[in-house]
Amino acid sequence: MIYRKHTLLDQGLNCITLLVLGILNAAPFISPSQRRALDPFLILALLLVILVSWYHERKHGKEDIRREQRDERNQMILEKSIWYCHQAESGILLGLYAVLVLFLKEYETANILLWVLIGRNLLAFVIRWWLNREY
Amino acid sequence: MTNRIAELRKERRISQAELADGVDVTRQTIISLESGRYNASLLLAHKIAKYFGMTIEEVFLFEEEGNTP
Repeated sequence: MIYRKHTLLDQGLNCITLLVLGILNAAPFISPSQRRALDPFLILALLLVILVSWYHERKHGKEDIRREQRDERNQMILEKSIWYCHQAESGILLGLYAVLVLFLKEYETANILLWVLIGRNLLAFVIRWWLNREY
Repeated sequence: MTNRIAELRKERRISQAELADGVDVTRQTIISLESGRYNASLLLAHKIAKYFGMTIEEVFLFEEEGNTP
């Protein structure tokens, strides 16, 4: 398995890309006709993201970027941030489950959410158990 | 854990970037080490001590937690 850690810029660019895609594809305030009209801008935005990533690599060089990926402080920050995010996600999913069941009475959606929560926690446990054996 | 990295670096007129290059970490890591916001791993502590030609104990000052017997 390739264990390549993203740099902060890589992660930021991924977030921007997802945000742009999400807004253009799923935002309720954009109509289908507006969405079609915005498609060329979406392609431009994606090209801009690729350009920024390429410029960053040219400016800093591959060795500097590899060092940023290997740097122990960056690794610690990445791992801590992912753990905090995992905890926050668990809280949000549980809260959402409670709202769906207690207030909205959307039992089918709540069950799907419950299985997502169960699967996610099982996967995290299995990976942690495997890493515990590896190290 | 405190350290003498900034002091030793200034004595030898070495920049943070040069030290970072020498021990293969980012300059931000050197900044965090010097300000005490980050503690180096044993491997990094060894690399830094070796870079300065000193022992780990001469560069990093370990503080005991609680009372010593």
